[in-house]
Amino acid sequence: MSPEMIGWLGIAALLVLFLLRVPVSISLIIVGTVGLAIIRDWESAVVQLGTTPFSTASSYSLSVIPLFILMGMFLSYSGFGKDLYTAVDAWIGHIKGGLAMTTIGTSAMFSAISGSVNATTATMARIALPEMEKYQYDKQLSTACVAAGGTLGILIPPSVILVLYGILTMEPIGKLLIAGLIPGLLQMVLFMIAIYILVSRNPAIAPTTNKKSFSEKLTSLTKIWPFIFLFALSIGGIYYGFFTPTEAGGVGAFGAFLLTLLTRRLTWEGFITSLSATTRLTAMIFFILIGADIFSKFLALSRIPVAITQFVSQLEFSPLMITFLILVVYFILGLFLEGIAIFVLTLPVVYPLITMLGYDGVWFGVVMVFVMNMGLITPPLGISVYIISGVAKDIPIEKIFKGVIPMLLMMVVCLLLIVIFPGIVTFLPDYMR
Amino acid sequence: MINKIEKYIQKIVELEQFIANLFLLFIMFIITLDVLGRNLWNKPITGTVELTELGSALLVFFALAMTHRKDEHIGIDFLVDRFPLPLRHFMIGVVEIIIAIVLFLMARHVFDNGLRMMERNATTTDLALPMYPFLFVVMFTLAIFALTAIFKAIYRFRRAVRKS
Amino acid sequence: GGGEEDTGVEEETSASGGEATTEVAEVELDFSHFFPPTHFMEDVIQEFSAELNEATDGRIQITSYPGASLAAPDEHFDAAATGSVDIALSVHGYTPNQFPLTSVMELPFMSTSATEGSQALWDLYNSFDEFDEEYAGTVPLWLYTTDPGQLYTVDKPVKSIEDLKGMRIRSPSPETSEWLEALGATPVSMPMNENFEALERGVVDGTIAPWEAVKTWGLNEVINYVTVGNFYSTTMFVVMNEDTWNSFSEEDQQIIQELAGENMVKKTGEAFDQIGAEAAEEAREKGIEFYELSEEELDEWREYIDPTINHWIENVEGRGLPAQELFDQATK
Ligand code: NA
Ligand code: NA
Repeated sequence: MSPEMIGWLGIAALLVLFLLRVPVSISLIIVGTVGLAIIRDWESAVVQLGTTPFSTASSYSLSVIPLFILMGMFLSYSGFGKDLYTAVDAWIGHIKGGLAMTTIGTSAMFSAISGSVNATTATMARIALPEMEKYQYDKQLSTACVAAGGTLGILIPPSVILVLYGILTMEPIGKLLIAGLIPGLLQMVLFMIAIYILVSRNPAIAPTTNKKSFSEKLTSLTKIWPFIFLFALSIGGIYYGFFTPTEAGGVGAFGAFLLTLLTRRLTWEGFITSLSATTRLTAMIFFILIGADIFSKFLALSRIPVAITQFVSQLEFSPLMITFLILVVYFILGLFLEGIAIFVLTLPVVYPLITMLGYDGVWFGVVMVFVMNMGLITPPLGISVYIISGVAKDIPIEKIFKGVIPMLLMMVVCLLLIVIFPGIVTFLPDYMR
Repeated sequence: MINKIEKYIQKIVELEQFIANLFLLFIMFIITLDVLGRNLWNKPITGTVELTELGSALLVFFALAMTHRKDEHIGIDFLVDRFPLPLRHFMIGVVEIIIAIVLFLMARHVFDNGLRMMERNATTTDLALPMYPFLFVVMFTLAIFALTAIFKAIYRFRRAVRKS
Repeated sequence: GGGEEDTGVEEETSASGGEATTEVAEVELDFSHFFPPTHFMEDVIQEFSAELNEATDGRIQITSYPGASLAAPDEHFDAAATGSVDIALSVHGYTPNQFPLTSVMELPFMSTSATEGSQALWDLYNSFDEFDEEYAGTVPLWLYTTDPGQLYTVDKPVKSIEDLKGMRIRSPSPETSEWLEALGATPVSMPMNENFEALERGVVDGTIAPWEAVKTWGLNEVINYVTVGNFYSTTMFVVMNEDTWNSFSEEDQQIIQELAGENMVKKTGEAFDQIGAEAAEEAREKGIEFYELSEEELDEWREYIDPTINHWIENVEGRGLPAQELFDQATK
């Protein structure tokens, strides 16, 4: 049997295990290990089983995730999250889907602090989901908002993925980071439009509240200073060079800790719950990432990603058609592979092709981020949705995947806009020069 | 007898959760102190990067078993939810056994990895801490995770039989 | 500029790769490394693979897996030693203290170029049997060093020790951190992939790296000054799993040895020097200011740096290894 064939069978086996309710992480580990054993040999497969768990869990870029989650937990359990949503409700609670839009907006702000989708999603899930539930927002809508908002994490700078793309392709990193900003904001607006359409069609999913008096509005504002403080601390700290975006997780969590301590808003019990909930959510996420790592080593050896990208690149179509096909291939790969793995496995074939066709390398970096983001919210391997599912336990995971579809469509719209009008991406970085 | 062992494992799992929380606090404090030290006194804390890496990895492994006990490792219920209850219990019981096997296998090879690291004197970069003890600890946490799965399997099988 | 060159190379390799597979190879070897797929080392590896394939009449076929897609950068040696890959290339420093003898080449002032450093390292490896223990479970195909590391800064040039005082410098190794501190700077440890943003925002004021890395990690976008002093070298290995090696006939082993070894040591060294020179040239064109420390100035620096070298010798001697002898031969 050819390695490619083994690869496809592995993907099929993964789907079967998922359906049999084997946890996602364990399924990935099983298929990855068995697949490696078949392609190479059992010895080397179990070596991977012994090395990958610790090596993945101890990677520095991931270590920021629990800290961002902890920040979210502190803010949520101390009631600061509630205050934020009360204030938002006071100002725009009468607007259709106002709180959902706020979730998108707040995600965008968190994206300016965090460079990763996982961290942004987990933080926002903890802050936003319970609050939207209180206002009786439909869970499918609220989880979709958090999933969508989280993807802004790698578009709006800082972005670990755009830095990685720059290193893989030697495109200028400074330009890449700036290039993500406008598409990120555009994406944010499109998400809000999606919410508006959804709520207009079915107002019951996002109940509006009565207009508040001006004094109510003002009082509500006095309570959101902890958020302003934390954003100012984190964004200021990053842009003035006091700490790196990774360290911002630690400083942000510590800032939230101090706030809860000084305002005495967090009970001892709430404090312990925050810690325990954070470590367990992190454990769940990391174990999936460990599985995804083993699985992607298997897929790398199966050579499927290289084979299909190579196949598409040899087709004799117009540049636009080839670009389109490449995006379709990426969408398919994104169903099963974690983003960074997709990058590493396919860029050697795709990047030279794209630049040869006359496209801008910086532009393509942003396109890649969109493609990756879609992979994060599509089944069967959709890590953002898994993270949200880890916080929102009373909604079935398939419902979250379903709710995300309108947001996914908006990402497609945004991607098409970027493909048709590349200036949306290249305008800012070109202006920088 | 089994109940006694289960109680004992549960205590360990709770202790593990506590240790995981301590590691979380530890990485929060050390990053903050390092940032302050670097900016205010030009004295960063040597080894912050590797301590953060180790702390974050250890908090994950120490929290794994409790995460499993609380059924927080994401799985897809879609199909299984449609089965009659006894069959559902049975299937989940089988899955628990599979989980336990995978984890015992993983624990064993993490241990081998630890042995290799011990032989090769593998250490961290800045503080030159030996790596192998961490891997042995990870092996232990994985074994506890596996045992947790076995007790969940027993519970499921009992339920499956009782209902039918 | 660089992008177009890469395009050409990629096309060639993928085309030739397609042809080579028509002949069925007896042995297929998985070659894993951490460099980005577009890095010039991938081309060096492809060239080596093609030569080996030809020399063995297609019996041995190497497939390269760039971008650490089979193992994390710090897992590479272990991956080769355990046979989870056949050949692995990585940085010794990613697994500190495991290569005590090899690490002599990481010390300051060991070489002025990658070619020189690589040759020196390979000669040491061949003249001291004690190296065998470091590479147990594997057969080193070739070892090399990058071009020497220089000091790059963003806001302020470093022309004297006085200038360096109080600056936060990203340090590549604990030894470098030690002497940076002795000189009054603040060494900062951080992963290379965070270096760009850290320099841009001023989290660190400078970094020590080879020119090759400056180019690979895009640092030339953010640095403005460079102080040339050959402060550090990154050393790297290319090793084959021992069982894989033993599975070859003596004839094939000889072919591999001839194509690898000295031949690749030289080629890799030259490749790093060429890219280093290009990167430096680009930097010059961009207006990045160079300052080369004179011998007299370096002597002043040495006063602070030599204790680190002595510590290294003591430390490695303490492990029962001939560090002094090794160091003397390396600096002869
Ligand atoms: Na971001
Ligand atoms: Na997906």
